[in-house]
Amino acid sequence: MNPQKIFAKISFVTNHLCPGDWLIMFLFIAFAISSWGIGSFFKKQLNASEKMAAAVTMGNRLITSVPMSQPQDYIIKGRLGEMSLRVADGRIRIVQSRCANQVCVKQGAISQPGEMLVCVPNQVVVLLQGETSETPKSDRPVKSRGDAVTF
Amino acid sequence: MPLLSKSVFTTQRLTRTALLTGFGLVMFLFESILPRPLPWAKPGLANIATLLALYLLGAASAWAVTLLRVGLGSFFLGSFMNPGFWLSLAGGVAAVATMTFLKKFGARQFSVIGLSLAGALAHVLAQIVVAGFLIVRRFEIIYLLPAMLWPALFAGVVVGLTALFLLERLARLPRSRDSSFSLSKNWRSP
Repeated sequence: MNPQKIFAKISFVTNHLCPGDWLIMFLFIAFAISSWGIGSFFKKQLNASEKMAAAVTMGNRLITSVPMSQPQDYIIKGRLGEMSLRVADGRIRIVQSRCANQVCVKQGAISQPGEMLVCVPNQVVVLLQGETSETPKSDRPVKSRGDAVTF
Repeated sequence: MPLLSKSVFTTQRLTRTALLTGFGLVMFLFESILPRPLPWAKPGLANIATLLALYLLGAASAWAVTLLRVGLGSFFLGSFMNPGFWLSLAGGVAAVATMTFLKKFGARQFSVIGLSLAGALAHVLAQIVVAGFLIVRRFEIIYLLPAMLWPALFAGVVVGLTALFLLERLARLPRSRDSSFSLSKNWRSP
């Protein structure tokens, strides 16, 4: 293909382009660029909503809500006495408890929303929740989840 | 005018619609074998058949080519009633609706390339809407929009150029005896 033929092809195309074509192309590019902005805006919102918190309940009462973002140790009072929770690397585990079987300690660490740690003798349930970024009021009763809480 | 009456689909128009459907189907199956670096981006070569049908045979043929291609293609790929089938159906319907609309009401403002781009844009938007509201049910799929739009822009230009050159070649063929099928008159934008 010599340059002349290439030029003929190009001019053939440009002769057939209409004003509407440029309009559509402009629309296309405008859409693509603006959707970058919209996408990053929603991404920020999603990141905010992905903040996880662990709801610690005793019986039917919410004792506290523990943010999963920074590593820290917590002491909570269960029915049999103090037990300690540890948050590290976005995972939470029960480190120490006064219960007999130590099932809750052996459960290990959880990291996904919806997972829970249960200590039946202490009546303590640690439930990982996906969204609550603000700490709920501590006297608000939470829905009981299963027999482990209500005996 | 009834869609399937003889006034719309003469025998010649019917056979040519079938021919273009076959062409679109082959393109559809061919691009389904191609490796895809971006799983959401397809070249959309089958849209060439729709564009040719729209310019050479009219809106009814374009609809027939698209719907038959989506349906038969899903049969051949075994993806009938899958999420992918609904996505391609929504995209195809949106694209052909946009293109027939623009062809009907703005034939002097848009060339084949403009129609192809408009079809690609409608295809992407319809797929995002269907994927977001029916399949994933999460609005966050809008992140994919820029990643879908840039390849679609490129593919729309390529498909439009291919259709333009094909129409030019086809217009050199001797004129058909069927007066409703005049290649050299219909396709050329002023």
